[in-house]
Formats: sequence, structure tokens, C-alpha cells
Amino acid sequence: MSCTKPKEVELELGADPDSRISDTLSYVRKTLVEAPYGWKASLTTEYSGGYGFYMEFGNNDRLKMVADLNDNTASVPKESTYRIRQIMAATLSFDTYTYLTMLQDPTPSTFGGQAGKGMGSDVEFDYVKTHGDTLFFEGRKFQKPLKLVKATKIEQESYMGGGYEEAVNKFKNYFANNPFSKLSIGETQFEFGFDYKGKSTTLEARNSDGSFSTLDAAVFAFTLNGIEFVQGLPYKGVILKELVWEGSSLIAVDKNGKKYSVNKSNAPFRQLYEVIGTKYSELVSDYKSYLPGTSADGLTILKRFHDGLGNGATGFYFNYGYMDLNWEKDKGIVTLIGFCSQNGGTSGWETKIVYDYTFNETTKAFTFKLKQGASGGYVGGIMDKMDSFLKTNSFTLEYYVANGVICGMLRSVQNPSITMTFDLY
Amino acid sequence: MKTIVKIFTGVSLIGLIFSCNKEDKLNYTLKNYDTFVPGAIDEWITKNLTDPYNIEVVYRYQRNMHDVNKNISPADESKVIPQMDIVKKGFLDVYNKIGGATFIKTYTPKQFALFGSGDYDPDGSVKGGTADGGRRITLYGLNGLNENNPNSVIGNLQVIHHEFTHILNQTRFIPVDFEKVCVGDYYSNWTAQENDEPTARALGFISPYSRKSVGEDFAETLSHLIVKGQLFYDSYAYESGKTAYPKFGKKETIVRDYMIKHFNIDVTQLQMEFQRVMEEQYKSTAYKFPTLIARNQVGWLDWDIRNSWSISKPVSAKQKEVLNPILDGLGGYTTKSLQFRLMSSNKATIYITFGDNSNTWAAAYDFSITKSANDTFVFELSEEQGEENPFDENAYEYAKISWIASDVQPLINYLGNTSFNLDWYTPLKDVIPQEYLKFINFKDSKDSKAIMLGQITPRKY
Repeated sequence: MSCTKPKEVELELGADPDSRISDTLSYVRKTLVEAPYGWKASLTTEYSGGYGFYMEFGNNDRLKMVADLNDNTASVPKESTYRIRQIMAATLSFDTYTYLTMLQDPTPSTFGGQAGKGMGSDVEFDYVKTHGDTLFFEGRKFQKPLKLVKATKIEQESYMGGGYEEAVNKFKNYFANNPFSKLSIGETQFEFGFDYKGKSTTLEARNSDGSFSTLDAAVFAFTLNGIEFVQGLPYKGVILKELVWEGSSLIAVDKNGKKYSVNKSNAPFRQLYEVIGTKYSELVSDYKSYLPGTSADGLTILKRFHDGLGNGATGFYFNYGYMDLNWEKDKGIVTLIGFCSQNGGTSGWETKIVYDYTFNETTKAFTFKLKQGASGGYVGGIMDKMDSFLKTNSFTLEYYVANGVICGMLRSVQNPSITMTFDLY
Repeated sequence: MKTIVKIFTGVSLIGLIFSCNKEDKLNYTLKNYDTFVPGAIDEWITKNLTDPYNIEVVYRYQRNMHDVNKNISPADESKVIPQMDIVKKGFLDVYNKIGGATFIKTYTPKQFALFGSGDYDPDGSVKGGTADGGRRITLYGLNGLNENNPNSVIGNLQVIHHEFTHILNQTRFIPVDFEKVCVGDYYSNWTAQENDEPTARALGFISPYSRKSVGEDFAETLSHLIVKGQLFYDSYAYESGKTAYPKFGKKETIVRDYMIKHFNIDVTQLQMEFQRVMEEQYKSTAYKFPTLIARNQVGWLDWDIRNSWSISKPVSAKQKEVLNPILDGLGGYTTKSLQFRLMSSNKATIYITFGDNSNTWAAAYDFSITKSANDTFVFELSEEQGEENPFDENAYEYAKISWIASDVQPLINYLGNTSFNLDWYTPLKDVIPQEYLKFINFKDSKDSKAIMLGQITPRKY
């Protein structure tokens, strides 16, 4: 019996591993490179919200990008490199620094992420699937989605010509001027609370029976035409996909293409003094962050604290801190918390002063009375001006749009020249 | 029954025909898809590092080249060439010149890996570099490098030289004596608040980080000697206190001996070459006198021109004129030493010892140091004498004795009325290692022939 070698080795999976890998790799690479006008992209992050991008992939492993992180990244295209690597089937690796990798950067001073963690984003993204003109990837470490959609010629020209920055500012200006604009879905109306740092928005709903409810925060990324709710914004079976311009108005569009109107408005459902302690429970003066609406006299009070952190006034030196007025409506108390840190905020100490408060329905003014003096922490000394102010001034509380964001402004009744603007949480 | 048996046999026969003794192997290899299209950066690397030094640079992000649990950024392209240029000029070329080509081929890492951000540890510390297995140095934080700022470059090179020392230590172990110098004071929890710089240096450590382990201590010591320089090292050591001071000296001796014995490298020559590169390539002013005075790194100058160091050097007529009244004796006593001590960035002291065979006394005169806009210095007798007295009790009292003061007066007058340019007696390019950082000229800005020459002398407690 002779032994003849078979002509071909039969392979069980239909092709040799080499060509199976190379199929996916070359498909992904070819698709990315051959898109004639580049790609619009969006992703979500572990510790922050959504971010938007535009990318062009060259044949020489080089790419260009703009991103909605800040004015500079939105207007100045940055060149860097990429590889499609065989780690899983095909992994898109942004292997030199670019705007997208700023989200992964563990250095806090880059973009405000946590030390060692950044915004919880990836540099390498595994290819998942294609659907029409859209490629889906997933971050290797944080497993967050990255979505690329083919761009049109007009979109490419806009992104590469500074149009992204314009689009972002146009959107922000609309809400800076009309912060309480109302979205309507059926009989329910909604107000937005945009967090441009965290790239997410809350929605407060006023139901047809007059009650209020708050939806979970939805992450968003800016687009050339408004914003995209990157993971959708669900409400009773409707999933909103984006806010886009229709003429000079904004409309919301859901996954099925149905439109919902957004009406310009400057009047909130409820005033700040009505919702402090429920919808919002904290007024925060962040480290050396002096917001518009703060008067010169108000600045003196805030600077006493913030400058005092770093100049040794407490007997120690701190490099970060904040003051936080923490409302507990059911107990009728407010705690003024002074936080100080020597490591940029990763950890630190709290000093607390507690006040009883009353609210006058006629004058809409809050009056504080000391309940418990400063205890704990190290910054009681530099909270003295704030403490003294709160004990000797009644004040009103109103919304104030500072830097395009809805904040809270406190105004003294006895000394109306004293105003201070705070972040609302 | 019969039929079935026949078919069965037939099948088995057929089976035999199609089997072979040899197993056929799946005959292909997986291609490496990890290549990329090379560009200008890769050309530069090939030309400047791979061809001359056989060194590879991985600057494109690879997760498996850092701690996989960490979040570390890729390097920005714009920093790759500047960083590797610094590696080449401030590290490879320096060791190549002093250590030789064989040294470079044998000991330098074959690979550099580059990352844009630092490597953050849970305890809050941030790593700037690691040395891995003798073959690779990984540099972090490239994106923060400012290649046009000499201080940023020096910080960067300190990391590189530190990591390279680890690599040397892997082939030639750290001498056992090194650990004995600060035995018992190593502290692995080096980022703890209590291990601040004053604490660490008082124990004889060049940095809080060097307390982490003997290996880190050795690497910190050698890298500081090369990169921060001898004047920095000596000042730091002296100002760390009486107990710490000798420890620094002992460690330095062990490190120097190690480099000579194992690699035939004179650390002084490394220091000289490093200074030359920093000044020529990066315009560093760290060794210029305005900086040295401001950082109080000059120390004590021996101005006693009767000593042997001055014999082979020209001493100006002016120097003899103002110093001879002191050196030829005070009253009937012999003058034993004369030093000009820079005590801080704005204070100097003339310190004279005198006496006879049985006794030695001291006389001290304090001066303020003023630097003018054109970088000249004036030394004026201070109004308050002896505000701090580190000397023996009566030094300032004896200074007031008329037959001592009158002999010192010419020097005091000369110092107070002259603007001096300070410079090294021999410029760096011409000086021999034995005279490196030793001799300083105080040049009279109005009289090019009037020069006060002094030798830097080790400080003592």
C-alpha cells in the first residue's frame, strides 16, 4: 500500500488562520481609510460623559482629528498615528497622543481627570461589527462603545474648517440665553441641566398632573448640528437620539426619526428657592473658581477662604479646597463644609459649621442661625468671613447663568451689594 | 452476515490507503501585523540611535510595555525626537566618550520605550522611568518635557541616568559596604508624609526616594553626582547636618570606586562631559557663578597663597598686596589659615586662624554679597558682625582687636570697593579632571591684572 500525500490540507474553519485574521484587519483598515470624507465619532467614558470627534484615517497609518473637548480641540486639527493591530480580531489603536487620548490621560492637569485614572477611557478599541455606514468598536479596558459614522463632504469641510467649535458655541449660547427652554414629549414638559464638564445632562419633567420627576442623567456629545445622546435618552418608551437645529429652533429627534419641539424659555418650572434642599441640595464654591454674578464684596468673602488655603493662614498649606453649603430641608439645617486637601483633592479634611434656617414666604429670604460652631478639619479660621456673613445677613437665592451654566446666586437682603454665585449640585 | 463483513473489510482497507506514517503539518506561520508605515520619526531613530548604537525605540503605544493595570498615555509625536535627542546627547554620547564603544555595546539598554504620561501609583507617587531586565529603559511623562528649558532637560536626564544605574547594577552588584553607610534607615514606605526631604537628608539620603531601597539609593547617588554635579552634591551634603555629612562622602567614595573598578570610568570625567553638553547644547547656566552663588554651591575658598596649590599658579600683585599683611603674621602670632567662606547666597565670611605652637585662635569678618545687574559681585563688610556665630566663641571678638583688624583692613577695603567677575581659573574645555571645579578667580572688573585666586576647600564641621 503506497502512501500518497493529499494535495491540500483540509481545514475545519474554512480558511487558514492567517487569512481569517487578515480578512478582518484589512477590512477594518480599508473601510477606515477609504471613507472619502472621514468619520464622525462618539464615545462614552467610565468617569465622565460622552465626547464627539471627527477623524480622517490616512493610508500611511496617520490620522487627523478634531474633538469636542474644548475650543482648541474643536477647531485645530491634530495629526497623530494609528495602527490596526491583531490583538483581538482587529484592534484600532490610537498609538500616539491625540485629542481622544486626553480622556485616557492619568495626569489631572491635562483635562481634569482623576490622578492615575483620567476620564476612564481607552486608547485601544476592538472592532465589534458594521451596520451600514457605521462601525462599532469597544474600548479594551473600560469596554465603552466607540462609534464611527461616515461623514459627508460638507461635514468634512465644516469639521476641518473650525465648524465644530462654532457648532458647540452655538448650542451653548442658546442655553446660556434660554436656560429653561422646554422640551415637550406628549403632555410632559422637560427642563435641561447641562453639565458641560461632565458631558451629561439631567432632565426634570413636569408631568400633566403638576408633579415633578427627574430622569437619570444622559451622556451627550456635541455634533455639527447640536448634540447626540450617545446612549440614548429614554422616557416611557421613547428613546431620544439627539437635539438638532431646525432653522433657528432646536428640536429633539428619537430613534425612529420622530420630532419633538423645544420651546425657548427663560422662566424655570420652579424658582431656585423652591427647590433648594430637594432638586438641588448643595451650593458649592469650588477652588479659586469665582463665578460671574459674584460682587466685589462677595469676592472678599470667598477669597478669604480660597487664598487662605494656600497662604498659610490656617497654619498649614493646602493646594485644593472648596466651600459647600449643604441643605437638609427636612431638618431645617444647612451645613457649611470647608474642605481642604494637600494632594489636589484626592483626599482631605472637612470642617463643618451647622446652622438652623428659616425661609420667609413673603420676602423669599433665608435666615440662618448658628446651631453648632466650627468643628473638625483645619479651615475653621478661614471660614470666618462666610460664617459671619451667614449669621448677620438674610439672603435670597435665585438662578444665575454663569459661563453658560445654570448656577445659584445668593444676594444679601441687608447689604444687596454682597452677592455670590455658586455651582449647583 | 457475510455481506456486512465484506463491506467492513473494504472500508478498513480504504482507510489504510489514505493514512500515512507521517503527519502532515499545518505549514504556515502567522504573519506579524504589528508593523506600521514608517515616517520621519522612524528615520531619525534609525539614523541616530539604531545604526550607531543598535538601540530600538518603541514610541507607539503598546500596553504590554507598561504595567497592564495602569492607565498610561501614549507619547505625543512632537516629543519623541526631542526626548531621544536628549537621551543621545546627555546620556549615550557622554558614556560613549568616557566609557568607550565597548562599554556602550555591552551595557546600554537595547530598547527605549516611551510613554506620554507618568506612571501613577496608588500611593500618589508618579514614576518617571523604569529599567527592565537590563535590556530596556522605559521613560514616562514625555508629554511634560520642555526640551527648551534646561531645568526640564536636567530633570529628564536625572531619570535616565538613574535608570541606567539600575542596569549597571544588574551585571555588577552594588558593593555590600554601600548599604552599611545608612544601615537601618531604609524605608520602603518612602512616600509617607514623615519621610519628607529634611528628614531624609538628615539621615544621609540625597532624596526621599533613595530611602526606598539600597538599589534606589545607589541609583540616586550616582545620577545626582553626574547630573546635578559635584558642587550640588557637596553643598547638599554639608547642609544636611553634621551627622549626615560624612555619610554622603562615604557613599560617593563607594560609587566612584565601583565605576572605576568595574567599568574603568572616572565619575569626574562623566561630570565634566555632562556639564559640557548641558552648557553647549542646552545653554544651561547651572554652573555659572550667579547661579552657583544664588544656590550657595560654591562653599569655602582657601585664599592662603602660601599653600602648595598656588605654587604652580600665577598670583596677582594685587592679591599679594591685600593678603600679605594678614599672611605675614598677626601681632606676633603665625597666621595658620585664611579662608573666604560663602555662607549663604547673601553672606560670606573671612575666616582666619592664627596662633603659636600651643594655641590656635580665630578671627572672623562677615560680608554681605550683592550681585549687580551685570552679574558682578561686591562684598561689603556687614554692619552686624557675628549675627550667627558658627565658629568658636571669640572669633568675632578677636576680629576687633586693633593689631588684627588693621592687618585685615586692606583686604576689607579692597573687597568693599571692587566689583568682581567670578570665573573658573581654567575653563571647562581645558581643565584636567584633577583640577575640575577647584580653582576660582575673583577678577577685578576695573583692572584685568588684579585677580584673587582661591581653591575650593572641603567644608568641615
